[in-house]
Amino acid sequence: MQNREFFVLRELTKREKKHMRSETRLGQLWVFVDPLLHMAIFSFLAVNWFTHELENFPMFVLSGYYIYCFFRHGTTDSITALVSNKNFLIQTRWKKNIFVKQRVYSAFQDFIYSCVPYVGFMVLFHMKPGWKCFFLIPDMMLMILLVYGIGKILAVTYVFFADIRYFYENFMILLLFASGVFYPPEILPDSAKFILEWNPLYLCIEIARNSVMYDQYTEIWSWLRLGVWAAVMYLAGSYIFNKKENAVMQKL
Amino acid sequence: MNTEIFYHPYVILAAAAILLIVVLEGIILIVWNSIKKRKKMRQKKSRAGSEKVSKLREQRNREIEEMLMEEKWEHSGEKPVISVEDVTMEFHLSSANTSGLKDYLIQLLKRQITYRKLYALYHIKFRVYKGEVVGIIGTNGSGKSTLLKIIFGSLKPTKGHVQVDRKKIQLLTLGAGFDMELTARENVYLNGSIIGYNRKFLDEHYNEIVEFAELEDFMEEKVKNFSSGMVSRLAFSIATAGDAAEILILDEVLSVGDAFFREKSLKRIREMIHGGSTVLMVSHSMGTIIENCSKAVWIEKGELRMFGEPKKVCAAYQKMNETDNAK
Repeated sequence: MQNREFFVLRELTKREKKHMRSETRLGQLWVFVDPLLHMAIFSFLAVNWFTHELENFPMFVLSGYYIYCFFRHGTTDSITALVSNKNFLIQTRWKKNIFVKQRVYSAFQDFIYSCVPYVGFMVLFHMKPGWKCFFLIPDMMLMILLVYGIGKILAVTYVFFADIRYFYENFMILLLFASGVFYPPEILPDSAKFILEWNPLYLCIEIARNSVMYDQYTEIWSWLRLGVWAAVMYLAGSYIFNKKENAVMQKL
Repeated sequence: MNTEIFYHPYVILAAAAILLIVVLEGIILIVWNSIKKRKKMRQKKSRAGSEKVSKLREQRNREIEEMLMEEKWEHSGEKPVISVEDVTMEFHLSSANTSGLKDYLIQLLKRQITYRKLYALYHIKFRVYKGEVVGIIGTNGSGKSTLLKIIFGSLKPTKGHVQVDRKKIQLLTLGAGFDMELTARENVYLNGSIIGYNRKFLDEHYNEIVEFAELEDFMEEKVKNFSSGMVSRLAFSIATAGDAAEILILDEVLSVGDAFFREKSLKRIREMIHGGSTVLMVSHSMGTIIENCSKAVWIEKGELRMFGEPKKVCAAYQKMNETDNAK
């Protein structure tokens, strides 16, 4: 059964990518070119405008930015997961959450692709990752749970209120600045620091940076907070999704 | 008189407050009146209806119970393949047709949103045994497609439940499950994966599928360029690929395509019936039902009117239509 589910995920992802890339010239190459371009732009901006005493500032920014992108793509794409797959909802024998799963899977795939140039630049900057970089795996797994839970809530909400898409886009912009992507937490005043401490996106980024860039352990409270966020969002997402399933089928 | 007093901040504040209260009162009065008007207009008839109708319904229910008992006797010891146990499907239709938050809030404030209950299905009970070919008939909007969706599992009934092994069902509806921007070949795999086949199965049966649909030269074309007949042929072919499903649900698919394809698809269905599949079909064509079905179920406005031999049920259905048309 797991194989078949994976097969559906891959087929749906193929379809999504085909839609996105069918009109472009580079086609499949964008998968690699996109993160490279991001890297180039950010490096330029970071070096010329946002210079900071931090060592390897471009890498610092990018580690945050790629995780933010995964979060954004995973959740924003999930918004339309149910509505754009209207045709399949009736005929599918899979549970409906597979469509949200597929969007998160697709976003994660893009994240993995973006890690490739990152590793390349790590080598370039002579950054040696220690064994602690494997902490990135549980870190991203918690992130996936979080994105999946939020994605489900958004997908169901979009069926009834299309406006949520715009509200969420604006929220994402806010989140970009509230997640410590471009700056170290030290520059924030104490009153604002608690936002970072409880922002799951920042927690994930902090753990990733500590593990991969600085080869350090992250304190257990960050892990716990992220874990709680992931668990709560996943459970809330599942609950709302299941409860509203019938109403969704009726509407679509 | 000292006019400067009018420019004193407290005076201005007081004036503004009075103005605000007057305006608010005006708005409240307008809204209140419109609510009262709407309350008078909001008279909904209850579903119960007159006494005569409920007596008729009781009689019908008794007859159905008797027939169900008889059927159980005939198939003693056999477990039904599909068992629809007292299924009721309630839809809450809101009068609001909103697609956004703004519209919803405005209508909510204006108290324009009313809800009414629609019983798409009301206490439906019937059983399907292995090898039976059941035809479901009823006028448009009688709840047939809703019943199929509930049996298949896409929709959950408000009350009651359906006992069936969902893994064995194959559902065929018109057009659903295709992406117009992809080629036919890609759609075979996409649709196949959605239906539940795995890659190996699709690889093995790909040629068979293409041959049955008679689309050998068109597989690399985008589906948006296909005619509706071609799309239905492909859909039918994919859903009936390989060793067929044990339970097949057909939602008005035998009426598509040209005469040759219709014959071919009917032949395929008959092969599957011969192979022991149970078939549930929805059709508007009395001919198809009488020719192919061993049992017919008549659903009208969400209620089970009659079930039994196709000729009898179709005759009763036709009679109702004639009396309705004569009115």
